[in-house]
Amino acid sequence: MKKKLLSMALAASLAATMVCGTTVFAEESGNPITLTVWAPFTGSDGDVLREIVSTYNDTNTDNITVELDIMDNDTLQSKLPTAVSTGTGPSFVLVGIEYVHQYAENGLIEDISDFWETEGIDESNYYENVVSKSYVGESLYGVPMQYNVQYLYYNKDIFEAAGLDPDSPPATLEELKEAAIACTDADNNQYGLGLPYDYGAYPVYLWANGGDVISTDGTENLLNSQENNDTLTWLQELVITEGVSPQGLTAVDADTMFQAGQLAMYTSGPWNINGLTELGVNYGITAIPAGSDGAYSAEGGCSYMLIAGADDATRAAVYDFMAYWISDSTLKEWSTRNGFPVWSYSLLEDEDIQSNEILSSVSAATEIGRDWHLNLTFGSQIDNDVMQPMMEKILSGSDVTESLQEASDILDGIIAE
Amino acid sequence: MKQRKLSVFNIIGYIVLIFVALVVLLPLIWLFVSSFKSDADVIKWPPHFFPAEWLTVQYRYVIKTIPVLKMLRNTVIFAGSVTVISLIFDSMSAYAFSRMQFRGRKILFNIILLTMMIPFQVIMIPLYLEEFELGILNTYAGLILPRAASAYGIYMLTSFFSGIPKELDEAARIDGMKEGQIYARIIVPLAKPAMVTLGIYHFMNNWNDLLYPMMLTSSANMRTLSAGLAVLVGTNSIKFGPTLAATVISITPLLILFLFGQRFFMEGIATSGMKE
Amino acid sequence: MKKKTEQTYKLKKANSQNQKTAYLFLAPSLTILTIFVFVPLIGAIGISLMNIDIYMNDISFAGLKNYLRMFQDSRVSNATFNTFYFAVLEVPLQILLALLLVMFMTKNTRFHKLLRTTFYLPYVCSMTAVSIMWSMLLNNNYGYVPYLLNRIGIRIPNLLSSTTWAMPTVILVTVWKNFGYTLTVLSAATLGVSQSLYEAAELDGATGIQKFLYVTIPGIKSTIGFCTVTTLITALQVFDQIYVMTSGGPQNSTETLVGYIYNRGFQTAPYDLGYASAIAVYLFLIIALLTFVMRKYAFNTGGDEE
Repeated sequence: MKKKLLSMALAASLAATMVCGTTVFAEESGNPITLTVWAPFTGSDGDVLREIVSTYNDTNTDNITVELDIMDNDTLQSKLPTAVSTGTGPSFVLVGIEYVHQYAENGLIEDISDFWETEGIDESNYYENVVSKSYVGESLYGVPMQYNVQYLYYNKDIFEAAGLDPDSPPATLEELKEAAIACTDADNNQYGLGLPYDYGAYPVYLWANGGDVISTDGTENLLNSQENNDTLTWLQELVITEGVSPQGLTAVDADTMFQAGQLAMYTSGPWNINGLTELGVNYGITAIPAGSDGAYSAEGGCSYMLIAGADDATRAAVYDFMAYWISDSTLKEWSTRNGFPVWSYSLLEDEDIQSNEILSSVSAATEIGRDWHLNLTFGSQIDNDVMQPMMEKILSGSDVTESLQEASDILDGIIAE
Repeated sequence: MKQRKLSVFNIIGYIVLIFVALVVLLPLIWLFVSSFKSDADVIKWPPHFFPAEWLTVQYRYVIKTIPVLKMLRNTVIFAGSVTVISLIFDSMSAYAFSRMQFRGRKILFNIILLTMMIPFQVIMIPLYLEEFELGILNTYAGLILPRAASAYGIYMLTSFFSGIPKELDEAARIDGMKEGQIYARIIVPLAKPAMVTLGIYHFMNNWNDLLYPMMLTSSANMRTLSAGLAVLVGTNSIKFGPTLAATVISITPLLILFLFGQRFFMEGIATSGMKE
Repeated sequence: MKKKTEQTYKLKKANSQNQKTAYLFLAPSLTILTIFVFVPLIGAIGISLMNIDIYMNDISFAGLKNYLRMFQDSRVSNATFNTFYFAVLEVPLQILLALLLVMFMTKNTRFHKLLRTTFYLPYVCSMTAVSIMWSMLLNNNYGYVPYLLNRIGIRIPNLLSSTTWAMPTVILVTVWKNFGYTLTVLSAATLGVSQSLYEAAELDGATGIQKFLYVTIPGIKSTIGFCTVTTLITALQVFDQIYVMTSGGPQNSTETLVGYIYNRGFQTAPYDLGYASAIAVYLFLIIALLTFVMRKYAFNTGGDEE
């Protein structure tokens, strides 16, 4: 009986590889292999990830078991380099694309440029700007897992109560300001617009008016400009004078307040969609409003990366999982359940995707994506040492010109290193 | 004989004690009842102390998401072994420091004290590399051994042992008892309250420790309960409901243990009071 | 003459026998602490002299560069200040609160036992859990505490995001969690104070407070010293509660030395392990210095009594 089952499984896996059309006999099926993957998905999207991995374990025909180990990003980042150097790390990781460059430069991850060919997957079926984030030079170091930009979330109920049209969210910064003022009712703990200081929401405002922080190649300090000065003064007025945002707001607070219906608008990534829908909040998603220079939104995403030192069997098995992930059915499940935008052309044709209201607004709002120091190894330093302290000062009322100058000096120091 | 009148001192005493007891208990009660709230109920304004509807959804979520029982087993093995071994090693050292004359006593004591002053964040990378070299990374041994002796424990027990009258063991010594016997039959039994206090201290600290087991285990199957539950608490978007349930789950075994052991624990203290 | 040398010889022999036994008693702890604390510590000191990041590529000798860099880093002095701010308030508060409560519960009645259990409860919870719980309770937008205060007409700022109030709040939460432990240790010591001393004091007509001040306190002096030293050592390494409640903010007003070490080494590129370790050595020296000064002048506790 067992033998019969085994041979059936073998036959099935053979058939599967034949259908795929490549490396029919090179594939060794049947040898059980266990892969471990570390991922910092502690939010509600982690639940969906767990389910998909478990479905993969139940259904894959190559006897591959993927053990998902979720931990918070700080722990993951402090453990990974040491673990990899001692050979005690995971088989692969799922981390933010901002890590691709530093991991690759430090030999933490493997070059997987042969992925497309090995798995017989057409690279051109995926958005070029998404896939390119996992390249370092000409070499592929990761397979994208998700891609996102920042969106403007707004609470339709609050809009209606404030006499605004819930179907026409603000499209410009001026409209944003008006709506924020209209929706603010501080005595009842209700605010118009969440402006957290500790989260990368600021580039979207700076960009909208033509400002920037650093050139994409990381050599030029663009922070101390008149445009930025104007934008930051405008933001400061919103918080201090108009009081549309609580002072000293953190990103986590903003998430919670929006979930609790105490915040009319705020910017965030798509990872809140799942939770908001579950809570039954009546919300909408739209693109980041445009300023004098247009509308831009900071890109982000996560990729699967193969840990250095993988043997052939591990590499093959990890490729198999990566290929499973970017198949249309998995990507569809991920997008529909979590609200992440679609980045596969073939999946875009899917009926369910096209008729999904949240997804179509998200996808529309994704077109304005812009690279935010993703390939700079000192990206997290810009966030932690320059921008966050500066935003914290300005949003609590410090002099804009002074704070900007100070931040710009620190940025100079970082670039010089 | 004893005067039973309520003095001002006693009245103030009761007021202070009851006030502090309330400040301690109310948040804990809030934590417990809030773990039965829905996600929306937890972050509602105006907040309510009790759930609008008593739900077990948060608990079901936690149990579904992580292997609670397996992690509980790991934690018991880890915290339990550390407590037992460390109590033995700590009390042996404390005995030497408080009862014996030997060269370098003072220096050794101070050196041991020094080990208390090193934050774990500082040595975690070297420790990881060392455990790797020793081949005990991601094993129970790797988790237990570094905690098998504690400077805090040695310091505390030395302090308590010093308070036990020297006449007792001098008499025993004249009776021909060896040091090992004096340690095991006289000092340790007399220091029971201190030993129990320290045992509970070790058990709780290791039970609740987060970064340490996270760093030294590399698979979810070796993880302790607190570390496993901490993973449910997001950084990007905190899941408040499950967080409360996870907290209750992680402290409930300790509370039960504490309440069961409390008789022994408090009796231990009482015996010490009747010593003389 | 001969007899005497024989005696000294015997004594010496007994003494060296005794020495051996003593080392035998110490051996397990010393071995463990050497392997798992001192060796890594020496590793950390070594790292502090290197140009080294978390990826451990391109390591080179840096000499004292990492140490000199600290003097120009305003966040080091800020973190030093915050660490002391925390310790100077937290340690006395925790000890005094425990002492105050101990004063009212010197009897071992059922009621006092129940109270002791109650006060110990927060200590059973993990610092992470306690921090999350208090962050939620104190949050201005859905927390129960601001709500209650609002009801009686008091509007408080969002405590954890105020540069003025964040640190005091963290301190109070820490005291809330830990005082029960100090109380238990002190209680154990109090119950060890001879009843005859209390009776003598009562005969002299001493009041409750007087009995406490002149009988209890002297009786548990060494335990108070022990609690102060250990609480101080822990306080100077404060990390968990701040990591959860404020992550060092707002505007670094709660960033302590361990927090900054963690930030430099593991949270912010270029993950400068060398620099982080140098700050760690600096912190270690501060703690060691303080502890030994305190032990020498303020208290007479532990192994070097008599």
